[in-house]
Amino acid sequence: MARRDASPLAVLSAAALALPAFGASQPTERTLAVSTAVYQEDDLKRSNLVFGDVERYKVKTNQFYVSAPIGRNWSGSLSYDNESMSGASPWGTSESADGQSDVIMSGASIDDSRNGLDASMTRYFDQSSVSVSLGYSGEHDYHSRSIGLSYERDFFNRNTTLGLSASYSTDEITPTDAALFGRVLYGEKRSRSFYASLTQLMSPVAVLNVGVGLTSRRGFLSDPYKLRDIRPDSRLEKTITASYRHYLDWKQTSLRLDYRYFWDSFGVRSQTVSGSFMQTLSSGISWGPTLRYYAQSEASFYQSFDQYALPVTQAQSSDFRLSSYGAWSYGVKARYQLGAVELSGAIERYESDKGLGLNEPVAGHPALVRFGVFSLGLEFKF
Amino acid sequence: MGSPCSIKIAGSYQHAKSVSDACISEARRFEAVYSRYTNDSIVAQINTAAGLKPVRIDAECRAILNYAGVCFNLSGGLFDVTAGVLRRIWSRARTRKPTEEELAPILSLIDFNQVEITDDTVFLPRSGMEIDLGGVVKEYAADALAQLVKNHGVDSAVINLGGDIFCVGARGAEEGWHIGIVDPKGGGAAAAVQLVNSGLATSGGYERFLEIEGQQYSHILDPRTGFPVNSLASVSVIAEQTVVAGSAATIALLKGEEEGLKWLEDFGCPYLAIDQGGQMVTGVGFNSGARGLEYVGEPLKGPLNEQRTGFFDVKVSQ
Repeated sequence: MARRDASPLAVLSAAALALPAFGASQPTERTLAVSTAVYQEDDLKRSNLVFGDVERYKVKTNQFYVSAPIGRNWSGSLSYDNESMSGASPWGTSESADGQSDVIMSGASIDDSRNGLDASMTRYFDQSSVSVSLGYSGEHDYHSRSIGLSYERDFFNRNTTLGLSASYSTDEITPTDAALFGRVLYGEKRSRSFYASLTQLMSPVAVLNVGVGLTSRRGFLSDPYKLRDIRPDSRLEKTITASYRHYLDWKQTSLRLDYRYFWDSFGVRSQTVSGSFMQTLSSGISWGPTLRYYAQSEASFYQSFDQYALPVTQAQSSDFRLSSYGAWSYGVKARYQLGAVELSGAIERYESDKGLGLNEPVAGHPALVRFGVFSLGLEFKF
Repeated sequence: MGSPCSIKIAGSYQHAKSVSDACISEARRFEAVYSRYTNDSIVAQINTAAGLKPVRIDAECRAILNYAGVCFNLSGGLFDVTAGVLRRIWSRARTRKPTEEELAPILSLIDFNQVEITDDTVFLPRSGMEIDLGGVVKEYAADALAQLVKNHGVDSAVINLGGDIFCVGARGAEEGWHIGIVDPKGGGAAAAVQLVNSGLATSGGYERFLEIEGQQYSHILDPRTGFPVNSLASVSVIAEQTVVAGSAATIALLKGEEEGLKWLEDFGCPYLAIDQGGQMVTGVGFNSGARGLEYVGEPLKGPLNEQRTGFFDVKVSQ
């Protein structure tokens, strides 16, 4: 008899795993992890440059994470990350002789660092859990504080899980050299987010998850470092997500497919589709590729080149992140278990292009970014 | 539990003592909660309320009942936790073979499909119906105690609850825990296995026979007819959970000799079956070694291996 996914062993094992001793929802191990990553944007094309340097952004990130069970029913986690950023970013765009837009890069190279701290506590109940989390992130000109609450509940033998979460954050920006460059001196932003999701075990080897999210942002939403960037003072974002995971016995392969649809009050709509798999080779190394496609439409107030004739009361921005564009990213991850330590590494390449976006752009943004990321991690369980 | 139990824990005496004390408490809890004999066990409450009203149950009890339901479906109705009422017919006091008339009213009380289970209650609709979770709970307790010792940081232990065994980790760096499977005809071990992070359960029908009018009747009963099954004498199964191994072994017994062997082969886990004549049949990994039948285990993986997603994602603004 050919073994199918729903063999008696698989069915019985799935039912057994629903028994409390196995479903230990409270983690019983302590985890300590560190990782480091380098993010590097490609240089701009000289022909697209009006002023400034072609070199763009480089970010080095270091992260530290620890989590542990506390008593019988609680667990806690703490993570700290530090980023050092250098390089320049676009100030604005202007119309070139042939009707295309060219980039004005900021002259000075930024050398900044960001520190972030996140802490969370979870309480586990019979079939549910509740988490509270606090976060802080600070750079010399930008500070953000957040608080979040989430709830998860299992139904029908843990075959179905409902997740609800809410979060609130306040951000403050005090742009550097504000007076010198005529920038706004201080801006504040408040965001509220809600998210609901449902996860369903379709079979002993397949899981489906769908979710909806709503985020409302109010306050100073413009980019103060751009020459001419004026955005509305409120933004409502909506998302729908779906993800599917499937497990195959062959080389213990896990397949994953994700989809996300986003639309907001700025007029931006976007879609993201990604697929990946992880498998374990006989040497004990797990590896897997990821492929992701992203496409967005432009914001209703997007201008392909800054138009200083427009009144300052009218929303306008030439930020490439609000233009119509699409992007492919592809990468590879690998993991290796050595005793209680897991080593991991990943490389990813991201390339965006005006031709891949959801709208037909009048003139594509010349500063669409391309970057590569390389990361290494170490995780220790004890 | 009724049969000899032992716990072997690798580690310092102090630590092993405190962990085994925790295990003994937990084993006693299982017994107190799921026993048919004590008055305030949840099973006794459910059975007393049969035909009267639903009884509140917790998540663990519901998960055990649902697991029993899966066994019921997989076995085509043979594995039925409501079949315990047949004890009333096949008791030690019996001197004559039961008749259809005697069996009929008892058989009408046997049907797991009729048990009403909701998220937090269970109801036996007919007065006289009973559930018996002893079999499932004994095997599950081995897994639960294994998880308990693991939670206490023990990575090498053997839990043996009357023949339902779970081996945590391995005995040493190179070898698994050595467990012998008893030969039913007496005379030592039928097979030697080395287990690593696995459960081993043995179900037997030969030890408890009822002799009536010169005939031997096994205590493995078909819940649909009420009569004993012409079953294998003993079945041992090795699986990632002792409860899964135990259910597979029990279902093999309930299916009778021929169907039982077919079920074991299709199930796909290593097994050793001994028929009433003493013949041994093995499969899926059991070999003929120098000292007779043996099985050497490697760490087994389950069907759904959650791949952890890294929490480290480099933040990229989009």
